[in-house]
Amino acid sequence: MLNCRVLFSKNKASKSTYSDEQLILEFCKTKHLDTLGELYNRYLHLVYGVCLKYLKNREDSQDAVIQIFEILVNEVPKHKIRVFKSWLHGVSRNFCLMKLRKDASVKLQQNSFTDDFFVEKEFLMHPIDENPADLTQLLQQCIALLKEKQKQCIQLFYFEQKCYREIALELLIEEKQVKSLVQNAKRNLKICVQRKEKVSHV
Amino acid sequence: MFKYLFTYEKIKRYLKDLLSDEERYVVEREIEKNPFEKEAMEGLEQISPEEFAWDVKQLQSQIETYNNHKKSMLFLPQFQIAAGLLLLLTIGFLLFSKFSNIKNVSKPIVTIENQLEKDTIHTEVVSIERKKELPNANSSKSLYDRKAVDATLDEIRENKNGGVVFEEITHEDPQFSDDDKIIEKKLPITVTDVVESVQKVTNAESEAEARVIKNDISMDATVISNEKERVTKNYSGIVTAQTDGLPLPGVTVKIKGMQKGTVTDFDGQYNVAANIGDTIEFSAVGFESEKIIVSNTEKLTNILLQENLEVSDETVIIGYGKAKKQELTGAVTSVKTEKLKETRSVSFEEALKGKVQGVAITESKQKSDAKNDISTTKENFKKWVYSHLNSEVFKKNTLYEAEVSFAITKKGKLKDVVIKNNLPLAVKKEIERTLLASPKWNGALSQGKKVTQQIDLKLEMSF
Repeated sequence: MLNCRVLFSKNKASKSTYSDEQLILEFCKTKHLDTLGELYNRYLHLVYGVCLKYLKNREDSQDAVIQIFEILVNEVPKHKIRVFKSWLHGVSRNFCLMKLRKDASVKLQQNSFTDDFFVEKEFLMHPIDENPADLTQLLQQCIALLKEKQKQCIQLFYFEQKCYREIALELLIEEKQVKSLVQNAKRNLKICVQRKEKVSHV
Repeated sequence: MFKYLFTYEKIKRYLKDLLSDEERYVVEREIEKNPFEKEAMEGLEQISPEEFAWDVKQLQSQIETYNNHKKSMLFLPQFQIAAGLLLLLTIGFLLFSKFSNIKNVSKPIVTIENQLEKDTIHTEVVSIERKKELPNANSSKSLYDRKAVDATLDEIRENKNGGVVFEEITHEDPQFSDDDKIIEKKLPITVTDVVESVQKVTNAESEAEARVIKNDISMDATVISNEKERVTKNYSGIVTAQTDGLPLPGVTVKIKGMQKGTVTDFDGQYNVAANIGDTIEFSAVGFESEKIIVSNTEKLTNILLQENLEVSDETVIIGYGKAKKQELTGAVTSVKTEKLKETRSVSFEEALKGKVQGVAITESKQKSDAKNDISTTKENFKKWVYSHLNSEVFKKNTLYEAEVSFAITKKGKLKDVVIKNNLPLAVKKEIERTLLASPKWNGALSQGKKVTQQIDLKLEMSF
């Protein structure tokens, strides 16, 4: 009830104060494209980035961003969207993968994206991304098991709260390397924790 | 609420390297947390921050214009409903008015079917319609039911008061032009004799229009002749010159009003499909054109064309084109056409024999040899082509050379024209058109049997 009143009292200009869910609701009701545009603008830069990652060039990515918006116009009313941001991420990713599939000449690029269609995953990817302070024992054990460089990166990033650049300077490696080390470390930790969990459950 | 903008701004500044280390850390942690941001950052690495900012702005404005465009296109549901209602109303109104119109006219529709003799199946329909509306003449079903005819005749019989009079209107010269045109004629019939007159008309061989003239209602009866129902006959004959009776090849035979026509072959013969009453026009360069009206006969009509007494500049035909005598520089000998005519010859070359000093013209004695026949025929043909090309397509005083090859079927039909030179498309098309419009060839004989032949010619044209 409160939400409704809130909705009606606000005018168009202050749409930016609406939450994602409110905007979706309003769009489903009124079909005003402006509403959807407002919502899309919030994540447009992210959609663009994702498209760039897959399609590799600016023009195609820009076209893709517009095309994805057109898709949204039709799809948003159809689905029950819990978290718009992750749903949008999925839509963008799937769109790019579909487009790559169509371009037969880009087979090489396709191979680099082995994990195919993206289903709306959990919001939490890795436990470590939450608060590192309340890490389980399991996780701490696993961190200890990591390779040297990966362990260091995890340490510096999550516990010493250093940015990539600082880590790079400290370990005398490139920023990109730092990122990939963190990435791999997280994956290894996940595997390790899951294995340990299985063992403990048994 | 503002965190969305916050993220974007932060990312921008992160990319532009405007943040301190602590701030960078914060952003990086955020990115690590969010898979969407993470992937986006991977993509954004490929472009510069300025490009990124610029592109995002552009995209945002693009979306806005897209939305505005869509808004103007999209009608509110209310409008759609209103438009739909309006449409229904208009349709309803139209139907209503049409329906009420039909009721107003109390006089019957008389349709008289006119059936002619069997070999010329001309079916014409006479119908009395209201002045306003005429039946759809273009429908292939322009014949009305015999039932309707009988029914309406009965009605006329009953309705004897008022003196319905049918007047006859005759046209001076019936002209049959485009399909389904309405030709008007009147017939004198009185009401009492309606039935008989109708029957008379039915038996008559001409189109009839019955005009009902009453005190207050006058209706036009119109003959609708559907040309599609007619059977066209083939008329053939020979076109000869009046002066010497020689057959004239290459005479254009055209049926007035139709796009079709033909040309006489090298023996002056033609064969054309026409309807009775059509006007056929025969025309050729240097002759007065002649028109005949097709009558009911099937006989061969022989046309005599009179020579055209117009005088034109003396044209000299040289081996490599045509040029006005004034423009020539080479050796020229003029042979007056009168001199040529004096000779009783079949071809131009024959006529030239002995007329020009130093030029000996011999004929090959072989007969029925496809090759030799062809060489003379080829020359004649080339000349025919030159004379029939539309000179507008060609640039003046320019020599055009074309190597053309085409096939002659067993029946003498010319087809598959191939033009080998690099010529303007219009020129090529004109040559092809002329070739295809040329008179029939005689089928080649090889060992007594008719075969297809391939002809190659070199055309040299200059206008």
